[in-house]
Amino acid sequence: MSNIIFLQWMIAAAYLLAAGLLAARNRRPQLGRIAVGLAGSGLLLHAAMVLVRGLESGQIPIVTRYEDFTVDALFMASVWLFAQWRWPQLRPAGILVLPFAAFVVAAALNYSLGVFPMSPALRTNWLIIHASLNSLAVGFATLTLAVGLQLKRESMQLVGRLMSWTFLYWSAMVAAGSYWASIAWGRFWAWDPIECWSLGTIFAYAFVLHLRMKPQWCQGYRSLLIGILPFGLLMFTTYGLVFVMRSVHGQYIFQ
Amino acid sequence: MLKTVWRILSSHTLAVWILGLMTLAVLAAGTLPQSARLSPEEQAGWDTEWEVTASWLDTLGLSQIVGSGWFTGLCIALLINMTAGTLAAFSRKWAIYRGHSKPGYELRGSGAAPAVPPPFFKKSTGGMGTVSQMRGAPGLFGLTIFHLGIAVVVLAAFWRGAMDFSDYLELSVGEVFSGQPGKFQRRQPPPEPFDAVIRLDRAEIEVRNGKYMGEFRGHFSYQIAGSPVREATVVANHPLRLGDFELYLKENFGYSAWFERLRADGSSSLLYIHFNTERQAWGKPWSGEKEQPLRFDNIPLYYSMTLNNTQPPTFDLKVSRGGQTVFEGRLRPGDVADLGVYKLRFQGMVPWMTFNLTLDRGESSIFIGFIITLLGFLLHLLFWPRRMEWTTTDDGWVVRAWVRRGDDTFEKKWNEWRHQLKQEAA
Repeated sequence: MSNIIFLQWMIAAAYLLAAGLLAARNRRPQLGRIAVGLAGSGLLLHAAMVLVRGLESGQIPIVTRYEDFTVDALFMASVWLFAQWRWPQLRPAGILVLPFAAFVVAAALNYSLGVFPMSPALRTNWLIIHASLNSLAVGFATLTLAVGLQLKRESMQLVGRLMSWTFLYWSAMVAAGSYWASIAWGRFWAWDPIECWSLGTIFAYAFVLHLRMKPQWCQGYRSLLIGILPFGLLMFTTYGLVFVMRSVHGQYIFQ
Repeated sequence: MLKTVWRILSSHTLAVWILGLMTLAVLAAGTLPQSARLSPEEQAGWDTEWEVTASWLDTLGLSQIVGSGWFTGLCIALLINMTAGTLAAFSRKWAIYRGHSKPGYELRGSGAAPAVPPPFFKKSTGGMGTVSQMRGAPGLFGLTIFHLGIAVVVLAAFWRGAMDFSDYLELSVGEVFSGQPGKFQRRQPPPEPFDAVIRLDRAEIEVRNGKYMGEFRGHFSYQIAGSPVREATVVANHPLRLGDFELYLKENFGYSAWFERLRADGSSSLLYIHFNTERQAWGKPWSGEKEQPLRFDNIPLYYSMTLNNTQPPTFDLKVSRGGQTVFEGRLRPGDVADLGVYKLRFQGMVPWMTFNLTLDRGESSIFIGFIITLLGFLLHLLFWPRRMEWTTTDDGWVVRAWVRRGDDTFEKKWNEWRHQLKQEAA
């Protein structure tokens, strides 16, 4: 158990240090490359830790709150690493994404590190599909907000594109969850609080994506302001809702 | 007039307003207490404790948002706006596809055509005339397909809303079900006859560490519309198809006391009395208590019961009628209790499980809609439509380009190409 805690802090430290180096890259450009290398090493360690946990427990490690946080942080770092490789102008977004991933990795330690057997309804590949799409959406949403917060004019088109990908992954996650609910419980939609908030998040993204087609909402603080709304809903639906409202998700996972 | 109506119906501004209102409506439905989600006890508690708020929510139509007239109106408005907007956008996109609209980029030159082809143009034109090239055409229609998928989902949701059926029933091991309305939680029959007979033969219930579900299966014998008897196992995520119906397993179970009810005329029937059992108590010594009136053959009797999970199981029964005790005693398997109007032979204790029986014809249309929606949006994201047209005449040449707004890759390459041409000319 202490090994896991140590590893988890190591990963958080690697991400934080990488973010620090990225922040200082203006003075020495090679620091940017070192930061990417460090974040990549942290990510490898992170992925290995998740893999070992999955192999040891014999089930996909996305059932408990600790696992959910750890996997989401893994996706945040992965999405940023991939994006900055594909679009180098996104590299500075790591200054915000990596500390957030580090925070989530550390926050995971607040929850039980124990392994809990999955209930029968969770023993399906739909859990992997549904949860992975959720983590991807969280990763893209975090990156989108980080890029938006930099308020650079040349990144604004990318914000829209990243937001569209977030919208796609989140919608696919909801659709996969809906199909899974139909085969597990015999209903694809029941207007449960988490279903309502997930759909509300889809509508919020659609609202913002439509609003961004008007040039005045596509740049500056206005763009940032409307970008925060769906991000906040997405994060609250993923992490906060089960704490404040009784929902089907609370019955099955997040011990 | 018609043009103005069409412009309003297909406008982006209307879409933004409707989507904003839908966001608020759906979030409110997920947050405020909704009567369809509350049990009768919870509803009564909410109405008593928050009397003023509850009455305000009722007045504003917020106590049951989904299904309310204004919410349905919003959905219809969204559908109309989306259809109109998509049709309008499609005609614009079709014009781009055919090269019949104003290009986003245009560059003219005199003399011979440039040796360096414009961006996203396969090769330089050699002769006179017009050469057109279209790349990423699927991306041009991605959003059209996406909106079509949403329309399928919304229409299918309206369609199935009128004909779906879903209700819970509890079945004990050995119990036979053939669609009796009394077995359903809501005691309402399905809209179509349930043309099958099912029997729960065996329940496999395993609780690990007194808390977590291990194995959880219901083994059935069933017969559909007089066809041969078959056997099947129902597990989570694998429902049993029974004609047009489907039977789903719910993680809810317990012990039931099993009786044979013997009437004075010599006829008999089976009776199962279900007891709620805590997960922690499963497979361990346990006692469950229950008090309830039971009416058979129009004769109500008040039962006070305790089922004991011992070896063998015992059943403590006290039955009264009109305040008079008609039976009191402990029953073991095989014992008979004479209640005056009928007799009960205690047969033992068996597990019961909860199932959900559904009839949902429109469900597959919803998922087809989901797939169309996601596929359309994926096409929109993956393919960047770029239509290029290069015309060479005796007087000179002109290159026109139609691309998506915000295509910064194209803009960058176009500017680079222009710069290159300028340098060559210099």
